[in-house]
Amino acid sequence: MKCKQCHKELLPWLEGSLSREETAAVEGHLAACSVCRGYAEYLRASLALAAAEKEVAPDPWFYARVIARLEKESTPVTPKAEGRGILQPVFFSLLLVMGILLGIHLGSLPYINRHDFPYSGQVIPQLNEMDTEPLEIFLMQ
Amino acid sequence: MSKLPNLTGGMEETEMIHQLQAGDELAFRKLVEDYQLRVFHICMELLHVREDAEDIAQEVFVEIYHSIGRFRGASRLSTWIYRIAVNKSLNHIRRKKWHRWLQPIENLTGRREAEPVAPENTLPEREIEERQQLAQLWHALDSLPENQRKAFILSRMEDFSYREIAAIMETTLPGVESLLQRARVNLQKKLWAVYKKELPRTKV
Repeated sequence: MKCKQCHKELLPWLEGSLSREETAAVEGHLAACSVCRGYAEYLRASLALAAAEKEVAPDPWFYARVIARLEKESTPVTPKAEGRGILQPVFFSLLLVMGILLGIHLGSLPYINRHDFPYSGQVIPQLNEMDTEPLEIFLMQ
Repeated sequence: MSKLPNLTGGMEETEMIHQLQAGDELAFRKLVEDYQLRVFHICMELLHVREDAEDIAQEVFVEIYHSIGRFRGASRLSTWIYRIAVNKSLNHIRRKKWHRWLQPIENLTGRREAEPVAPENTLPEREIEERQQLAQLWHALDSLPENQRKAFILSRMEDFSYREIAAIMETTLPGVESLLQRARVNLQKKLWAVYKKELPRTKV
């Protein structure tokens, strides 16, 4: 048996759900392979720790707490407490929408400014040869 | 409602259901006393935090109290109760994930403080190791697909029979077997990855 095959069989082996032949094969491999033996021990210890958690008992006043909850539920809920659950998602949705709108607004800004560039009206006509050429041609003639 | 005498003697399930549906408080008390341990353990296996498990276990009985009138006996009472416990625990996990996502925003708005970290360095080394090992197992289990996790916890941790698991999960026996098979393979792979990482350290 190879290590990979052995790993697959370890949990069923720990549960005791393998056949006699399969159990013998796993145990034979574990006897020969220290890494798999260490891993099997790690799995066994982990599952044992989880099983030990089952010894934790609930609160001795559990029934009283359930009853207290039922009694609390029967008292009317104040509008403030009721609205809190809705207000938060609404607030974050509004924040998101405002963020998107701000982004759209900022994205459109450079396009508007291009036309408002202060020197565009003065410099460009002087450098534009097409505007002066007809006068030169006129003088030469 | 809270000042009730102790109940003695056994009650047939159908009789108990009728009494519960009639609003019998003694029957409700008996129901809570009979099932609280197993319900609490199911919640504990799924949530891993005692306070959360107790809170959700209480919620389970509140839900039972309110909806017992609608229980038509399509399944056993115990199956119905355990199904509520599993579903409520999984809903709590989903809610918690959502809150974890929102927590940085809540901290910014000053609504909630970050949860305090347990002072692990004050514990004995052996206990720290055990805690870490258990945390690795829970982490591996929590990362399994939801149905595989449910099946594995109900079978391996809570010792339910395949038939009971099938009834709780509203699936078939072969379905449960297949889920458990895949859960074992996946869990083993995940734990091997964790163990492999620590291997050079432990071998030295």
